[in-house]
Amino acid sequence: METKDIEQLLKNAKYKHLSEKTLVSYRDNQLGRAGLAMAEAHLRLCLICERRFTFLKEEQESVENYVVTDNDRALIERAKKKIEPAPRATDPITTRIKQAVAYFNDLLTAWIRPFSQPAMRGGKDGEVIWEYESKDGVLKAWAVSKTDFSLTVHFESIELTWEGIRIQFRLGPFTKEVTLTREGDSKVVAKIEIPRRKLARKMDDISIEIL
Amino acid sequence: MERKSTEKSRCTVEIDLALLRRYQDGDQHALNDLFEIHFVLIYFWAGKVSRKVPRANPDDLKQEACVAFIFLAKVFDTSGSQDFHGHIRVTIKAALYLSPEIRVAKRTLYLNYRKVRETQEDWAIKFDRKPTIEELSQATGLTIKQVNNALHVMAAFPFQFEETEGDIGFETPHHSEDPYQSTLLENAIDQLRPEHAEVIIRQFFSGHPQQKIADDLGTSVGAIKMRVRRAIINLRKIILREGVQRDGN
Repeated sequence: METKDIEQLLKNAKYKHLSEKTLVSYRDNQLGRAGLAMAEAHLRLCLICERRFTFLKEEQESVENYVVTDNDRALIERAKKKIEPAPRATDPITTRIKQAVAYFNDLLTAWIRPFSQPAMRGGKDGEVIWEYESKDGVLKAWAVSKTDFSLTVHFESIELTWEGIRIQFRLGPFTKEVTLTREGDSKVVAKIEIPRRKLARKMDDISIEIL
Repeated sequence: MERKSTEKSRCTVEIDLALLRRYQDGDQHALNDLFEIHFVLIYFWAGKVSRKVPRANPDDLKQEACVAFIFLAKVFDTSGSQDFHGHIRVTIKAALYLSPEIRVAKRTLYLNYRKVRETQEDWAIKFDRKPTIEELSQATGLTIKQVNNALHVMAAFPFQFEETEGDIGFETPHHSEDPYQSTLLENAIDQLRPEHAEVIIRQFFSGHPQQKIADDLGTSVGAIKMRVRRAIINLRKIILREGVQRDGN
């Protein structure tokens, strides 16, 4: 490749249609200086890519405003039935465990989202720094900080069949196993106390396993 | 089971990967959550396509896209940090393209699309600007509506049409598209010294004449010519090095 080839490459660059990845990056202001200049040079010349870019901008507006409807959910269910086999009947214990797994997985997602952001400020003594409740209210959890910077994570459920379920909780290098125990007639609970020296730097490095 | 949340679910790579892992481990609720976040893409692109193919049933198009969504969620590689949102867009558009609803319309769409595309590309090289819709209409002999429809189709589908042996299928990347080459060039320019990148961008992409570049940067045309020449030499070195690292050739 000679320098005259490079010069020709530069002259022709603005005629190259933009890939969808480039158009999305352009839309989201994620292109570097050269990429931005190349994209703008081409968009000044091309109705096709201009239209593609317009659609992507409209897509972005839809993403911000759209709410899934009952009709949409019905379509999703029909699609699932088309490709997913019907679930086999399972014994009650397996069902109970699977149910708990699903709820705790949802809890994990709710934990990871805020804690994957840049460092949250420490809390005051007794301050609840995180809380979760499943939409049906079956599972609740909350994390309380103390003045010595230790953390206590509480779990509470109205699903009494979960009594006796053992949970292995891991946050960074800290691991603890607890059992959901009955408290009164209406709930099962568990509590995990994490001393300050064992608190992870990366608070989104968490796992909860149902044993 | 749904999560109570005080904030609308946001689409992030981390959340998508977490939900995909859960779904691939057998949690059907995670698939529902993925659909809640991304269904808008199905709604949007199915809507775009059905507007130009009146006989297509929008719900049938969405159904095809939902099935494709589920298949992608089953097999998506969650070990890295790939952008599921970007992949699902391409998957949805491909599913719409392949749907029986669209198959019947392809041949008509293909003929006009090809005329518009070739005319647009020739126009850009000849006149160094984009044509108006009216100019495209005149140059192709199509109506303004047909030109608009062709542009709409090109924007809605990820693949371009190709006619081989009387059938419409996918087109291998057109000569005017070369994402690899564009990326190589872009990355190479980003590695230049700032004063070299500046003159390259101004001359070849912003289209400034060298006199204007010299005036803006407070120097002479001779200095700009020298700077461009050095920039091109350095670009060549970078591109050759990157090309060898990538291809081994």
